[in-house]
Amino acid sequence: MTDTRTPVRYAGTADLVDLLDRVVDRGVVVSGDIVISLAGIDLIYLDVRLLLIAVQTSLNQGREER
Amino acid sequence: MSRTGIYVYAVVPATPTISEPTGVAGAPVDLIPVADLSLVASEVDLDDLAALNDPATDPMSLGALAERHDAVVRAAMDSSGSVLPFRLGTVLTDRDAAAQFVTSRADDFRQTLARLRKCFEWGVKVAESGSEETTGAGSGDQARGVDSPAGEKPGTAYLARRREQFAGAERRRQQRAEVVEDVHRALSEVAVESVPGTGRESGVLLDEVYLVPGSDQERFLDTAYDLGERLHVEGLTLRVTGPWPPYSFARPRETADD
Repeated sequence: MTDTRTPVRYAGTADLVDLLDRVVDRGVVVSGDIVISLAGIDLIYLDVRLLLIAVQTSLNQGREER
Repeated sequence: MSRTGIYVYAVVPATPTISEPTGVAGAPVDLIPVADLSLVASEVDLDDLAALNDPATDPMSLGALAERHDAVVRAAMDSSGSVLPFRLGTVLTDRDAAAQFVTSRADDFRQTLARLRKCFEWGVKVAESGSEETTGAGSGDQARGVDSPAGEKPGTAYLARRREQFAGAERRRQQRAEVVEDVHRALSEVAVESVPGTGRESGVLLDEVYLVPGSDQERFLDTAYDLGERLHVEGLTLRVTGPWPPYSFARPRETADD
């Protein structure tokens, strides 16, 4: 769905930061023994926040370099 | 031999097929039937997932994971009419454990799936159009540099001007709050539910997510555009993203706020 009417900024669903915002922080959370607790993976929820910052940074760098 | 787990994307009302055959890391998407529900899942190599946590890994590989997750969730919604997404990166030990988990929460899931049926979410953010216009910023410096008119004590004039600036900033803040309230009220008339956004972006006056039935999306967007035009005149920008699967509404309503 695209719409070029101004002055609303319509980002559609292509914006990676908007996507990460949703899939990282929202959604059904499972807890307990059935969640894989192999080293590192159970920390994915924490680390994903750091990665989000990294993604934002690399996107910003990409914009500046253009 | 590498260890594997079950990556879970979503729970949907029972569906025999899904239009997106490829899941995370190229693995085929599986539909695991659990009573009248289907669990959308795929097998995943645990070492691949663990690599995501490695600082040496390109951060964009998380982006690729998120995009795959999103593609499968969207396809699941297309196939079944309603979707309950899991949080990104949810990996369970095996199929049986995953199926048992769905069984144990089946009543909750059914209710939420009925509530979200044919609904998409739209994110709306309102911010000042230009960063140089931010409320009150820099006004102190401006005041200090200006000469006072003849016949006034410099200190008195300065204080009067400062008071005026504070009052102006306060009026402006109140106006902004009212505008934002109007926006939220107008959008809430079309939306069936709303929750605050994650608030990660700073300097945003409104950050809200709206749940909108598919049949009302046109009306929601029209409303947003009309509001955007009004806000533009006042130096504000309204930004809309969507339509998204209802990620922000997947938890039961009572706990949606935590």
